[in-house]
Amino acid sequence: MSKPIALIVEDDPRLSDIFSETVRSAGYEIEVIADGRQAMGRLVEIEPALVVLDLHLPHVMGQEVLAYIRQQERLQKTRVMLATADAGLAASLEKQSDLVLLKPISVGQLRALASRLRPDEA
Amino acid sequence: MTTAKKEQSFYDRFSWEKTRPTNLRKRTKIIITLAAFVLYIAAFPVILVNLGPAGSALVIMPVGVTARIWGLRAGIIAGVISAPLNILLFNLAGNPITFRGGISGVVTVIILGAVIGWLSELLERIYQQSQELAAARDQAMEANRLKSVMLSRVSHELRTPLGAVLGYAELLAEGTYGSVNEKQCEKLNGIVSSAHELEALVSDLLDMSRIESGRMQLFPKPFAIMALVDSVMAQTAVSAQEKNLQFTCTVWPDMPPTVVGDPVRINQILSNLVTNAVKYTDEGNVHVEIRPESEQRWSMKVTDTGVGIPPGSQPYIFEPFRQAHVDDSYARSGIGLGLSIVYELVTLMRGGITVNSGVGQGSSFTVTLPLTAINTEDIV
Repeated sequence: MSKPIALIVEDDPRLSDIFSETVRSAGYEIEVIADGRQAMGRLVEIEPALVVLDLHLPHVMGQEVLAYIRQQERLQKTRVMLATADAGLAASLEKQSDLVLLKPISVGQLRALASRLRPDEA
Repeated sequence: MTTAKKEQSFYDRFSWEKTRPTNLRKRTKIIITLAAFVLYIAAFPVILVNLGPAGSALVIMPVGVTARIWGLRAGIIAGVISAPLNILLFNLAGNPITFRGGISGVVTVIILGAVIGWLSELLERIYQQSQELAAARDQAMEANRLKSVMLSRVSHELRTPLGAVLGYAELLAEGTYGSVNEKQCEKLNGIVSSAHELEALVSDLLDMSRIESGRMQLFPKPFAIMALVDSVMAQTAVSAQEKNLQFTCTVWPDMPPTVVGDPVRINQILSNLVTNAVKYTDEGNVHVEIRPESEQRWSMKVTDTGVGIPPGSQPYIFEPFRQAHVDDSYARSGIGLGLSIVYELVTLMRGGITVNSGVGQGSSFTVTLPLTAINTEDIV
């Protein structure tokens, strides 16, 4: 059985590397995108099970990507984990997302939460 | 666009600044001064008939106008000119005035001209100083706003590299990039705990900048009070254990299990108070008490048997960057933001905070918050 896909949308290459490594170890296949607009284009193509989403992104902000995910019929099952340093903005998006993680994010915590959100675990 | 331009030019032409007497153009000032004198000369026969010789006191009108527009020196000159003018006008009207009357008139008009001129200049100086003060105040407020914005941006930007330090150290310690020995793992965990300390500092700076710039927002929702208290106790239990402190908590049975508030910020308030209590207590105990104060309020009380706060420092402990024990042997690490953040958050929540402390007698901080209890079934 193929692994569920996790899309990491993060513009800092070091953080996307850490997130990829961690979420991969939680049993996902990883794809990384550093740009909000590109992420919106790719989302319906790969229909990821999990999106780890930064909010301050180039071109299109994370909250728009989140709104887009929630509008798409094909992405109904996609779980969204916000990963941001902007506590105020994150709190206002708490209801639309499945989880909010404030940077800096603990690897152990991210792995545990990503495992919990895996479709075969839910 | 045209309308906007017209409005702008109308406002410019009739702005308060330009129509203030001392700011009028020189030509306008001359015209007004001459007009005042001409008006007085022209009206003199009518004044004399209707008011008699006493009406000549109205000469103060052109003198006053001159003094108000031009200032002290012009006021005196106008007084000097108007006195013989008045005498001349009386003579022309066939009603000569006595020498004594003339002298007293001259002196009175000169004094009045001087007083009005002096008051006018004084008024001008006060006005200019108030303008300078307002400009300095605006400048200070703008500098403060920029400082808060800068602090917020810097704190925000610090979190990204801090996340990378923390993440890579954790992954390395876990052996993700190859096996590490016990000693290496210990050192990597040292990096992780230092990064967490740094994160707490950055968070405090970020919170303070949010508070100072008025951008701190609360997100109230129903939450279970016991879970919050447990989480705070668990966070601090290790530090308390390391110091062999008795670390206890009482939640009164009549405290509603679920209240409405911002759980993140209430956790921060309690956590800051408990962390401080443990930090400044070397032996004895730290006790947390949660209870309803009335039907409208509930309280969190943190009591310790620590070093206590000197009475002289108590009025300042809620100010940013202040610490009660900076220069003495009780000094502890930290930048002195914890209590001021607690104070500001409590104020934002329309609550109150009191402190009861004495040197060597420990401290007791009580935070009271508005109580909105809800039924557990109502929680979504």
